[in-house]
Amino acid sequence: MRTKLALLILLAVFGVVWVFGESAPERADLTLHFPALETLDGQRATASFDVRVSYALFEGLLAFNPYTFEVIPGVAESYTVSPDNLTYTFTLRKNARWSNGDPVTTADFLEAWYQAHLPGVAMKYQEFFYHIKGSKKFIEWCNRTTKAINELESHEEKWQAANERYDQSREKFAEIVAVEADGPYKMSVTLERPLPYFVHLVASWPYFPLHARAIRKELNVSPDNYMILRNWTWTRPDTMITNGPYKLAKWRFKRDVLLTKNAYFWKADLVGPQTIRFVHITQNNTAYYAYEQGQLDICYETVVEFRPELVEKAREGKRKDVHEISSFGTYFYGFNCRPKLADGSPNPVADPRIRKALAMSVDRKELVENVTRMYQRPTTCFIPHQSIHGYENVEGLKYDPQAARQVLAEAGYPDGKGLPVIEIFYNTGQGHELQAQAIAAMWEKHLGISVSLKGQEWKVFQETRNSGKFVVCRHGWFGDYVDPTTFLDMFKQDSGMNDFGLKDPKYDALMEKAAATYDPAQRMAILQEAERYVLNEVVAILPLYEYKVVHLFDPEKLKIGTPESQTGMSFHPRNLQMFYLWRVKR
Amino acid sequence: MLRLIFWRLVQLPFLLLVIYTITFLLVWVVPGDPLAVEGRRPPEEVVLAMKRQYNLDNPVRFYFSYLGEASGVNYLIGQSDRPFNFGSSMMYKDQTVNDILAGSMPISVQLGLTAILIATVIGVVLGVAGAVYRGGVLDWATLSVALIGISLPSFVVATVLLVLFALSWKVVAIGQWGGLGNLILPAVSLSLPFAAYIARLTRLGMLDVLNSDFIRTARAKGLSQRKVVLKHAMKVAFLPVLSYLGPATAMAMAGSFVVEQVFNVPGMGVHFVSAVQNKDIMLIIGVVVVFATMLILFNMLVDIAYAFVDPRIEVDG
Repeated sequence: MRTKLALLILLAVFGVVWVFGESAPERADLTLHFPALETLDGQRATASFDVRVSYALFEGLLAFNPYTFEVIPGVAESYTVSPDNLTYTFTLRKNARWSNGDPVTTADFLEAWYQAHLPGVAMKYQEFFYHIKGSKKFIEWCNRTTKAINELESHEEKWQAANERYDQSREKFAEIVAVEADGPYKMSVTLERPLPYFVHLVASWPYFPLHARAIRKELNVSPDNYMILRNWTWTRPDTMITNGPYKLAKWRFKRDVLLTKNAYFWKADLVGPQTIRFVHITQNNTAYYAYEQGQLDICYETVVEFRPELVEKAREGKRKDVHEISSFGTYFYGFNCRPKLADGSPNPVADPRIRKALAMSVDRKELVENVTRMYQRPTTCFIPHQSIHGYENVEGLKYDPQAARQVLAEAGYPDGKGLPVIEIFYNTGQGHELQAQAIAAMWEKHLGISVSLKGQEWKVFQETRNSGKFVVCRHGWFGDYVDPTTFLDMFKQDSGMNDFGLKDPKYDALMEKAAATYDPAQRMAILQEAERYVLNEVVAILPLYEYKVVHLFDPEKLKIGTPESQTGMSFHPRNLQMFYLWRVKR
Repeated sequence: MLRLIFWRLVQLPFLLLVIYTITFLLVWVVPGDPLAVEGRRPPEEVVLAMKRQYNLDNPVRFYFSYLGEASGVNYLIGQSDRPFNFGSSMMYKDQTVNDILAGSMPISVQLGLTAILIATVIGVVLGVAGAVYRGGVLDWATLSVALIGISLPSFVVATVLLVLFALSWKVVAIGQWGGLGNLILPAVSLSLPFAAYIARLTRLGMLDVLNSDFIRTARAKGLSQRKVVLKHAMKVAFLPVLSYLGPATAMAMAGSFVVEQVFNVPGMGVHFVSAVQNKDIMLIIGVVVVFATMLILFNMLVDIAYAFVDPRIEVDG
């Protein structure tokens, strides 16, 4: 009796568990996977997948043609530039609407841009705004007042001061920052100095609007630290209002994101997939199997260990679904350019001639064909080929072991004799070891020097690289916007990304000259000179190859877009997708 | 029995307090700044203010304010608008720890319970068979299966099952969650080590019981082998299994990180690992405390079940 009762209870428990367990979701028009998603808050997006999703949810004043990366009208139907190239005036279209039907107006942009400046909202790409007149000044005001409030004595005083500051902050923003609205459909932005690629920034995600009335409610003074903070949990289907081609239907953390078409989007008739489901899959192999089984329409940016075999099969014509695309990023080795290393010992590569010799004795073709086996595009320059309209790529230091030996001899180390051991630092995993070994072997063979390898775990490696505790380090860089400065700013003395310790007045002067030049052709020529200088004379880095991404999909089912067709998946190196232009057949 | 339940419930908050304190100390001494961002650093006053927002500048204040929020005390004294608030994730700012747990825990519970059910059925059947046909082929087979179940790492079992059932025979979908079909493979992979252990426990218990006097008496009275084994011996032999089921169920529910990864199950396991990697203090404490509560409750359930199955056993608090 007791046993039967126990069994019955047990069965009842399982019955409840199974009945309340959910059933598999319905297949969306487009299903793809993602390995990680940090936020759906478009303004705060930093990872490339987060950014791609935010382009599905929002649209800025301007937008990108994903096939050519030209700037096209977005919420603004047109814009004019003042004769001094400082003031941009945007005219908003009247048919741009939010997903709840409200019109998109200048107030939405003003509110979003105002919030983007607040230190407590702390978006990483805040610097996209620094070109606007008064932008930095307003942030300074915020920081100054934060400090002043912290210096007050009691909680009551601080609380009162913080609330007063909150009440003033919008007025202050309007007063200091040169962004002005002239009614709901016209606004102007004045820059600190002319910036030819400003329209590219306006089309980028940090400049997206937010529904002013809704997002205002999410902004509060925190009683804990007296800062102005946004309530981060606003990114839920019931509170998230979007103006892009899609709206958020469901977000299950570390599980999936479901987007459905925003019927109010002004180009709604161009929207291909009516629903998109992004499935969270962390395991590369599981994603691959899911694709093979047909669960995913595309295995986007696959990083399975057997990627080289897939590429091999594609080259032999055995697989039609493997697509290799060069991307907007370069894999390179960075040199420490400081006279001394962090621990005070002399830097063995302080002499540019030694760096030059090292750079000239690496056979990149060998590297991509036999080591990575991915056939990436070998490169001697930093900016990826044909990725920026109007920019001719420069010629860097070519593979020439004979000349390399000569340069090394000139530097006082004939046949590498007397040169201290060169250490290569890299982060372990993802095949970086193999490449470091291959490069070390090339240097030893061609130059007769000795090389040692230092593999470090990612977090440790980052610290090593940022603090200049290396001699040679593995590095990679992807551009954030389509202008050479997204790469070349890295070598400026005051750049936060200058891991090489480069302090070169000539380079800084060239970059400054480019910044002061408005004529596009002239400006590009100066930037070319700067790139040539930093690669061939300073030799701050050793470019190896352009990053390559591999997508798996059946071209019969998922259309590949071209500048002519204007629909389908984009193969542009910038690798930013406008999912609404995709066309899926099943 | 009521006294037992009462005492266990009284103990619960104290146990949890100890667990909270230890977890808190551990996460606090681990190096790394949970608010650190790659790239440019904000000005000092902003960094300080953000630390204050989460009480990261003061461990004592963090300890007590978090305790007040998470335990529901702040709610009871009217300082907070909801009880059991575990705060927001520091890495994934859009998420609160409560939301993360609410999304992943039911899945882990479902998977864990199913795995334990499978493990019990397989384990008991194998164990009984092994004991009854002791020394025979079946016994050897049982022992081998148990050995394999314990020694094979779950990522091997999981991958093999995935390749066979999903890729070769295409009977289940990969990377999907929902529906019974997608539950079975991960549940089986998760259940194997438990099944193996249960099989060994059952076999040993059964061997012991089968040699005892009351079984001989039962046999002498002419009871059939089936009745002897299933009705009389089983009742006693099952007790060690029962006591193992409490912690085993909680373990299975905490999810196996590996099994979850291979089958892409959106359960709790992933948060255990990634929260530590990201030094996501709130999330670490949240998962640990919730898991500990589950562990304690399941142990209590087992004790109750003990008393229920065998009324002779006295269980006191």
